[in-house]
Amino acid sequence: MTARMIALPVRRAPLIGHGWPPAVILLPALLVGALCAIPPVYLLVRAGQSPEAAWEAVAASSTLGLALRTAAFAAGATAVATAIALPLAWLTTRTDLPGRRVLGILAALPLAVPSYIAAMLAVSAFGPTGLLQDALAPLGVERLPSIYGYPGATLVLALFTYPYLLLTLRPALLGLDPRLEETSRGLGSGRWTTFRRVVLPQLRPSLAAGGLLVALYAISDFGAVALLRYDTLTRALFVRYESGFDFSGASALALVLISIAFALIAIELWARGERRYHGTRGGSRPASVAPLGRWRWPAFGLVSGLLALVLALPLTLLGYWLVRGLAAGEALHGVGAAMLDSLTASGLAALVAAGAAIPVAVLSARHRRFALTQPIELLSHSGFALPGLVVALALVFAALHGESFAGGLFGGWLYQSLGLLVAAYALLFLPQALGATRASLLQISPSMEEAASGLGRRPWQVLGSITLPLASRGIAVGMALVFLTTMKELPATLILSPIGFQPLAAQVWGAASEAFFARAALPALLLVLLSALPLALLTLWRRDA
Amino acid sequence: MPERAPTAAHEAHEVPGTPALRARGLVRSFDGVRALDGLDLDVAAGELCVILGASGSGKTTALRLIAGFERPDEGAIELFGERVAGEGAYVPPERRGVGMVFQDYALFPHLSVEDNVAYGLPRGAGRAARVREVLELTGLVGLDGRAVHELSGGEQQRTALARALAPRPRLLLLDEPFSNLDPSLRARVRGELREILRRAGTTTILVTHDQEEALSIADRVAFLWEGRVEQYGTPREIYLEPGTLRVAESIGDAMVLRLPAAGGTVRTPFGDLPAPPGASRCAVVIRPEDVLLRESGTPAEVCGHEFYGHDQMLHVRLAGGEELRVRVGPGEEFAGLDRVALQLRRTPAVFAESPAATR
Repeated sequence: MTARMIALPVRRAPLIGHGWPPAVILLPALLVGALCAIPPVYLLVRAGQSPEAAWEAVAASSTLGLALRTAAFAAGATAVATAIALPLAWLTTRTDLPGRRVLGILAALPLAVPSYIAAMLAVSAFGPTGLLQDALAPLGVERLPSIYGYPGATLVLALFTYPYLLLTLRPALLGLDPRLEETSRGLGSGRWTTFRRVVLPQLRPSLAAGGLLVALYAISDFGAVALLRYDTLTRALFVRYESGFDFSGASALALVLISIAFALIAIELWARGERRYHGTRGGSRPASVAPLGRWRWPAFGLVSGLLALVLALPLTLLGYWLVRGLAAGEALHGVGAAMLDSLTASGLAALVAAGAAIPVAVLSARHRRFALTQPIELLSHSGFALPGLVVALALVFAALHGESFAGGLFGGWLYQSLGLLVAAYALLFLPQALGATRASLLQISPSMEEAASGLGRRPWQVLGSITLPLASRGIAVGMALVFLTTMKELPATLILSPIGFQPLAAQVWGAASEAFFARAALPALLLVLLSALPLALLTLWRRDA
Repeated sequence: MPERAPTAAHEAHEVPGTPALRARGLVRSFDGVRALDGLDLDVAAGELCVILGASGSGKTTALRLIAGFERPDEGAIELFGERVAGEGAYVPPERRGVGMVFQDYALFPHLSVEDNVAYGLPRGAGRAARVREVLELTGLVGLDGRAVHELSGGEQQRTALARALAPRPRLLLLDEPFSNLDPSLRARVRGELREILRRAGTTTILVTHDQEEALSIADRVAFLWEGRVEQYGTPREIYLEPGTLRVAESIGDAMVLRLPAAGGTVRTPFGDLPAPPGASRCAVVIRPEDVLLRESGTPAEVCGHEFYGHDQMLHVRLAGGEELRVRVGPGEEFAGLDRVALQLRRTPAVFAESPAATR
């Protein structure tokens, strides 16, 4: 869930004619919208079929408690992540912090560590039988503060999701018009007052957007809360699913979870504020740099300490468990196959998501006034609000239902097929591909396409010869984002993987949930490295752009 | 006094034979705002027509309707007698045979100069030859392999022009073609463009907000105001015989004396002039270059003076309190001069004015 942006019209997008979009755009876009509608519509229908059972599940006192715990978890994680990301973003963009460019790139990398690996490492190091406890036991330390429960889960999640906020705050800080701050200083406000009254209000949309990403991650997280033993709706939903096919009850719980997601989106819209901070960008001058003075090296120490905690420590621990596992004769078999499975699934998901994103993005960037544009766009963003577990369950139910309905026609090819898994990934991460593709389309002047059609090319030729080549970078960025997010995805992977198909994420989970840390180490390390690579490339690529 | 009836405001200029363009009653609204409000325009084949208007007057919308990028809400467009828009007809841009040069040129950044120019040509034997021909016509030979971002502003403009001309469009549309150029380059590029268009022989419609540009390059100027053609005529007609007060005030430097009229006559400081029938108030339009300093004539008091180099402007006040500006050559000295006598070079244009319209 990196590049979100529920698209708002940035400028009045011109359109060719004011009739219908060309069929080459409209038909695929309609198909994408219809496919994206399946999970939410199916859940609603399902819950509506036996409303008593559904209501019972919703109204159960345990459900209310779970919903509150889930909301508290999201709020806590977002607050801690903001407390980390805001100073970090400011230090790495607007001060003379030593090595701030490199630190800025490194600080985004914890995004490559999925929360379940972070949680597994936290348990292995700081848990009641963890490495730290073992080391301290001879010194008479009987019991460390517990890693389990709300504080541990919140802290771990925040430490590995703050990059979402960092990534939205950094460009915002770099893009601020320095004249506004200079005006404030000139009017007699000090540095702190200026930050509070001029800079912070301008960061509001970015804070809201990044905060929403963290909060949505928190409510849909399954691995970390399970390992750190904090009950949320997502965890309860998974347990309910594993304990048997209680369709209506699960559908109802899923709908409660979706309601929380929509509440979070509503909060974000409210927090983003009515006003648009367009900024009369001076454009020419970069934002000013504040000298840190004698705080320069202490600040550097603080940032380095954080990076040691979220980057060096996880890698060291993974290395330690790997070596310990090897020494104990842990078999390495299956890791190569798992890597291949991961690459296959992620690659296919990236291709499918990018392909689905193109017609929707064209519709959104070029045919904004067309009546079906916004409904299709909204449906295409459903993966943004729907937790992975919910989408996976809805697809399982729908596939089983469809098969029993159509009988021999489908012959069971859909459920537990690679196609369904890839479809789930594509649906979940389509918004990322869409955001990147749309952004690059908006940078192409529509007059390019008009010039091409004025020179006698048909709409599909214009798409192929002008639009797609010019948007190729955005499309590639979208694919990279989908690839790396798919690599880390856990709940849909666990539920929808075909028999015998075991990507790295599933393998890590299988070992970690049984506390076989040494067995989990190698696939986890590969997973982190494979995710970090496109992430680093993307960060560098953005910088060039 | 000119004995001409002012051209009825939005009456199309009829041209003999089949016009290259015939637009009738074009209306196009955006979010309830009428960008075009009944536009009529005829352009004869081979002509260079300039649509002149302030920003927001609807001139770019008119161009986009003609090119087919927008559809009219009302009205119809014919190209060489073929209905391309209106009353149920709509020919998409790719089948209109209309070339367009965009304000931002819209050059394809992923293609070289040569590939940009070749883009609109069908694959085949004649393609390379035509590209060469157009590159020669536009003086781009030697730049064919360049990437678009390596070109200067003027070269980019010529590439856009070459690309539009390559498929031999029956009508060429230019949207503010000089606005992205350095002002010092404009006059030269304008001359080049005029020459290229003359040699290509293509019927052209150019849109601009710059009156000097319009007057200097056009065969015919359509002055656009609030989505309609206010006056359509040769540059000379538009400037010397403005059809409405608005045209007179908008184009060139104009001073307006608002005076009462009676019995078909308006009494001006320079003598009586015939007033339009029935007018009780008139607007008399005088241009600074039409006021001459003479030995005898209407007396005036000098109240200011600015020297510009190529000319100078004298500010004077007439006996009735009206202030005028007088354009004179750079050689004359005005130190110590406090009274002058004025005569007019030409009879000023007189327009009826409703009493409510006085400012």
